[in-house]
Amino acid sequence: MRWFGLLWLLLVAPVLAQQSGLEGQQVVVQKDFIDLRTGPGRGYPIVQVALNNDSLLLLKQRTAWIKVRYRQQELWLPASELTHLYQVGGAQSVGELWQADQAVTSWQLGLAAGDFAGTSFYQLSGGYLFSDVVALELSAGQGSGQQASSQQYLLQLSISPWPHWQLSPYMALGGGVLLTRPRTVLVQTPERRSPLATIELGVNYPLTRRVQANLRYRRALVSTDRDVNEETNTWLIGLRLAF
Amino acid sequence: MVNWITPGVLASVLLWQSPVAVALQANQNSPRIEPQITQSDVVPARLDTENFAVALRGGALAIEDFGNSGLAAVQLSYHINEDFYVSAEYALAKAGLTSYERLSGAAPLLTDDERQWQFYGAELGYVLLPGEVYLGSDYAINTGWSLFAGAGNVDFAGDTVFAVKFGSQFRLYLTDWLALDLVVNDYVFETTILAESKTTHNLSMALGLAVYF
Repeated sequence: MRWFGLLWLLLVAPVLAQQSGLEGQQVVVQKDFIDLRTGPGRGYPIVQVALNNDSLLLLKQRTAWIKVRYRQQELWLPASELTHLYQVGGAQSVGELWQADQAVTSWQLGLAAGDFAGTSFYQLSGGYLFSDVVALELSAGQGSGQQASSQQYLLQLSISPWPHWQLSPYMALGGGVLLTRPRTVLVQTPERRSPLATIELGVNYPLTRRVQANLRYRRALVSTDRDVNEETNTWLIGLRLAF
Repeated sequence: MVNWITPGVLASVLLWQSPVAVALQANQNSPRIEPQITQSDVVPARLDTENFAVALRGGALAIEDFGNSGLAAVQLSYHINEDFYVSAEYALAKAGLTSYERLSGAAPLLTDDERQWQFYGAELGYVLLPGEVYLGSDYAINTGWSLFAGAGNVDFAGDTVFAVKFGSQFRLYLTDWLALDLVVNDYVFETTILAESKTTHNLSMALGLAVYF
């Protein structure tokens, strides 16, 4: 039960982080009116309206919604309204200033599921983007079939020649190791460890600024102990989140 | 006839003089204090984002053929936008006895270790019904009801199998960073424990707390 304490810590740490929040930033509305909602979503009711020249305090952000303090009330407005909020005496809106100040994201976390050689397969991955075009991805995958379960650890270097296309294709080359364990009920069979080389083709499609969906096909050459090498096909659909 | 010469000369002198005078004045250190305002916008600090949530839950899981047992789960979520979220979950339970074991009094089918039921996997959720509920006439509480589907692994009875999960989550926001969770979930996977291979549905219901950070 040692890790149970760890779980509590996991829950308590964010609570503590809540306490040390910074005070907000004062801004002025430069638009006829802005609707303010009770929650961060279009499904929550509008209970207040901030008028032209009213001042607001920006507090925090959740997804594309900003929490503000307006007349002793804490309410939410969509981040698209930031282009109508100005700092006192500022010439550019907060939205424009943040847009210009946008940090480049270079880390990605990926999640994908699909089919690997006829078995259910899913994988977690972490990637580093050297540029828009070149990325390195490390992935760990787990396949489960009727006859055997397998694990894959791969390192792949990918090139996406047209990063600004809406539907941007990419190609990746890499290698790794495949661990296979036959599923048996009575006898314990040893795990097979075989190296594999891969080529992957895929397309990325941006869903939001931070999230992209992808569809990929991976062909792997598995070098076995037997005389012939095996070739396998993997089909995956997944998401990548950028940080 | 009007004499144009004098005003004409005066005007041309004035026209020639004025830029010179302006230029001179600009060069002089004028005794007046000129305000030197350069319009520079200070980029405001980015806001603290709260797109991650960690949830801790406890409840009940009905493992098919093995009765009902307690369930503990921890879940880390990332909100992609107001509608979608992805999360990773780890859940833990301990299977009871099958009816066969209870009635026959035979040796147990599984060892104590093999009765440990574990799930780890990921899911994609969609907040279908965001809104408010009312507690009496004074309190309005934000809620979100979402549907999710995902996949992962189940470690049970000395075997690791692929599992699919789907269900719904009702979240009651006590504050905007602390929420009460009610999750109903179905873990679907194949088992071969009782000789033949079959698809099992393992329903769970759990109550928990979620903290956004």
